[in-house]
Amino acid sequence: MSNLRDQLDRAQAEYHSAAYPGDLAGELLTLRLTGSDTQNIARPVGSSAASSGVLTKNRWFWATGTGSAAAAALVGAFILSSSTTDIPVGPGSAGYLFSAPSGLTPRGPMVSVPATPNPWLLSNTTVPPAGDRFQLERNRNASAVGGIQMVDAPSTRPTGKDLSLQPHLRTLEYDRP
Amino acid sequence: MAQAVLLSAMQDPWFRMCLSLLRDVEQARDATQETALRVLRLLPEFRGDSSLSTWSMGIAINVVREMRRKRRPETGEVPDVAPDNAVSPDDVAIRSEQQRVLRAALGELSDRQREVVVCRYFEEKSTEETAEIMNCAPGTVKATLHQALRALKNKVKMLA
Repeated sequence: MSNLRDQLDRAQAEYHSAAYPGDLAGELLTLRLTGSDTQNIARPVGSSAASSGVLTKNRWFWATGTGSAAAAALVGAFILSSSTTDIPVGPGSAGYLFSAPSGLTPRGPMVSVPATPNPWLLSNTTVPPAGDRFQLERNRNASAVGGIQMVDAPSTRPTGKDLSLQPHLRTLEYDRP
Repeated sequence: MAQAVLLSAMQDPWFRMCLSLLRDVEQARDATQETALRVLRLLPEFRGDSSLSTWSMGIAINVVREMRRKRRPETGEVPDVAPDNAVSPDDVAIRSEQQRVLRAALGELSDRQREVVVCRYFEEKSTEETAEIMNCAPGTVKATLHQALRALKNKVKMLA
């Protein structure tokens, strides 16, 4: 037993000879403020940076939250702009829906059609319905290239008058200022 | 500033304990840093029932236990952390052999037994302090220490 005690004593001396390799205070306490909840405690350095879960959780939370908020704001802005912006119809305009043949020049004034969630409800206004607008555009392009008029089959869409007869749509305001 | 003083004073004791229990320098360093972070965070809750050293050692041993649960398989022996400025080559040879045997025997102890030996013999803590560090009853410390010494004696005999 005394032999074991001697060995333990020597092991104790060896034990106390070990020292932390570095300056713990310098590694953990920095002058940079990283937030009041961390009390000026910086991230651990070295291999512990990956293993320590104390601050990485906060980082992931903020990164995820910020990313989600940015994505939601982008989608919202896109939806808002697409539902309220007037879509200019005419060759050469940025919002032109069809690929116009190159070299064509627009004839007549540019028509600006306000976009609405349901264009059928505007059928009794001065703006022609979507089908008619497209037909006008196609005829215009056709006359520019060869004068051939393309005629679609009669539209089966309900007119504004028809819609006004439908009881669930009577309360809607069809005329826009 | 007080935090820096505290960390400077405690970094070596924390590291020694973590190294002797984890037996890996890098892991011991990580455990020391994690211990420091927890101590700084929990310091306002320190009631002063025990010494700051004993209280923080308890935190260190909890960190070590958590790291043990998710650590890779052990490498075997305790790394040699002794300084190179030893006495004479013969003494160094004999002592290093004895120390190698003792390290191997310590490595074969259970985690609990190693914790008791480190606290009682290496850190020179009392039975009550060791019980507080290990979060167990003083009677458990005495029993575990008795088993650890008996196992060490047998293992040293076998390995020598």
